[in-house]
Amino acid sequence: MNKSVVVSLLTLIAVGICVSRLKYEVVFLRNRLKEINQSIEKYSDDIKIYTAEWACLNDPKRLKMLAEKHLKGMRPMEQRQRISYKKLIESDFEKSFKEAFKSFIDSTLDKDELEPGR
Amino acid sequence: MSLLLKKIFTFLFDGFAIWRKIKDHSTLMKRLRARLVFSVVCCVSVFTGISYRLADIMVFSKFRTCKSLKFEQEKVVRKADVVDRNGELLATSIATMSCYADPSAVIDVDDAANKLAKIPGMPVPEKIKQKLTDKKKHFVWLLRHVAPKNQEHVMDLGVPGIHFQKDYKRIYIHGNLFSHIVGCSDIDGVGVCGLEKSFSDKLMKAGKSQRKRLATTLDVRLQAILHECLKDSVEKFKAAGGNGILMSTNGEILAIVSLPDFDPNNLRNSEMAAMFNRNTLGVFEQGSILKILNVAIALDSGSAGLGSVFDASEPIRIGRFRVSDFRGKRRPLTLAEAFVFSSNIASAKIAQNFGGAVQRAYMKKFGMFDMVHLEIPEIGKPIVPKNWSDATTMTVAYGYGLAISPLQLLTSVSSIVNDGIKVSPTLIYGKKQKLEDCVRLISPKTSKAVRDLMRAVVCHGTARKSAIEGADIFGKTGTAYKVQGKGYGSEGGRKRITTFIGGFPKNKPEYMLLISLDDPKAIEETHGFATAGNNVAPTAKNIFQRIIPMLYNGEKPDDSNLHVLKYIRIN
Repeated sequence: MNKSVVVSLLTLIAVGICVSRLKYEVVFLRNRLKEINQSIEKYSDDIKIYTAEWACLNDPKRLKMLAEKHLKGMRPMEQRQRISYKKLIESDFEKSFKEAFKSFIDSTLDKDELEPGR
Repeated sequence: MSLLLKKIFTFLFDGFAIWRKIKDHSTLMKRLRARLVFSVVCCVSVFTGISYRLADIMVFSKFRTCKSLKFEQEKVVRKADVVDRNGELLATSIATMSCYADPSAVIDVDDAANKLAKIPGMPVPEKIKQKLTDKKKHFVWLLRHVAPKNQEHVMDLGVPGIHFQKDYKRIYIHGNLFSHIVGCSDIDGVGVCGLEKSFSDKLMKAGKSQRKRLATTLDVRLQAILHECLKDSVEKFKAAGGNGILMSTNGEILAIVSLPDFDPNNLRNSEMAAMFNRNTLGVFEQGSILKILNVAIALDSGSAGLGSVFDASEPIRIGRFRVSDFRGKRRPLTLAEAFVFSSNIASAKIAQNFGGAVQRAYMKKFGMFDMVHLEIPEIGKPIVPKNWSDATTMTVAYGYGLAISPLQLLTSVSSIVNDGIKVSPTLIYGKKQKLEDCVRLISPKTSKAVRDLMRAVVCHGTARKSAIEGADIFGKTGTAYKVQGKGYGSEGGRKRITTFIGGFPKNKPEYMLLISLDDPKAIEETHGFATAGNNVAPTAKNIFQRIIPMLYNGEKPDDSNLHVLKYIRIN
């Protein structure tokens, strides 16, 4: 057996080992990718459920019920209580603010509720 | 097997030994050769059979099962989310598990059926048996969207051939709040009605991507307000139903409610009547609301001015019908007064003045003869009289003889008050309006005059109960008798449809509202009246009061420049 045959055989064996290792590496990575994709899908499914639950918690009917329960004495703002920014600048700011605040107090809050100790 | 092979080989070797001993005996040799050939053929056949069966079990049968599973799995898809204009979820698909059976793998069908039927939600044993009997099948659904607890119970049973597969369930977050518009899907996710039906394929394709979703122009907050106020009103006035639309003047529908409604999460318990969308499918005569169109035609065509006088002192006759006014002024009225006091007599005379041809041309321009376009399949077709006689011209002037949907009405009135620029309704957020749709229907001057007249209706006319402090609302009410059989019913048994249409702010309208009640009853609070000014106008006020602070931050109204008032004698 001459040298070239020996070298060729050794090269062949080395290439074989490399290809075999490469193949197993690819199989391993493919499985890993599959696992990662599956976990991404699982997490995204979970996120979907949490998003849906959050949307349910933010349902306007529920929020209204909670507001009525916990924000006693307050009610939605009315258009007459509002003032435009333009008008606010044109007019005396302090005076306008006092008027707006007084209007807010008069219309939205029962005076009794502001008294301390009740 | 090995014993058989041993015997075969012994037989063959024995034969061979005999053959060597008596090779000279040709007859025997022939017989032996025949036996040998026969034995070889038998062996080859047996091994071929075994090999084929092995290949069939190991390769082909597996391939067949996979194919059938793949076919079913393709049906189970995740649909993309539907959201409102602020990104709030309206409809979504969540992952669940569904139970299926491979009937060919089920050993004892009776036992399996009896065991499975005990799980909540599973069909009755007979039905399960029926599903499991067909052994040729490899896939039958047993129960879709199984709760995790029940899934555990099924797995604990240990019945062979029963499996679970990932599935997606469509959830409608706000229940019946958006039932008529978002619509609903069947158990496979195929759209049944509403946007779910119109965009069924697109939603399924988009569902593969996590980020894609269908953004609508709707607003959850506004929808909830409209729904609540309308529901309260339907209950208060004991109406058969009600509907409302809140639309931006750029055509975007912000809220749209039709009552009664249904829960798309629980279709089985919903009534068919509740699935009827009154806003888009309900086609009926709209009554005095059409006077807005009548006045716009008169002013835009130049046939009459705001101060033109029409005699409304006596009722008029159209064929066998008598046209009279509800609480009429019994005097000559200006065009402005005819509109503000909602005079049928004067409106008929205004229409007579410009004539049927002009009326038809304008009505066509306003889109009264065509189906309105919206991105849902439930759209009603208007009922237009075949012969447009003089009588039709007069009755259409005050809202009879032409049946249209509320959406169609709101679209045309919005176009009139929107400086005369056509409004095209849409439910898709960010949809660009086509250039050919941006057409002028009437002049800005006419549009302004109509808005002023509608403001006068709110300040001094039939819609006084819709006025709120701090906002320049404009509007018009309309009360129409419902068609019952061939007529409108007898005096005591008449049913009404009351409508309010209005908007704000007056000088540059941004939002339009339509509210309608079907057959509202007179109550003590309304002093025995069931007209629009007594039921839908206060309903509109309730809605405006809640939505205006959310939508509008404009100047407070200044009615000093309401020029139309000089043509109106208030008393």
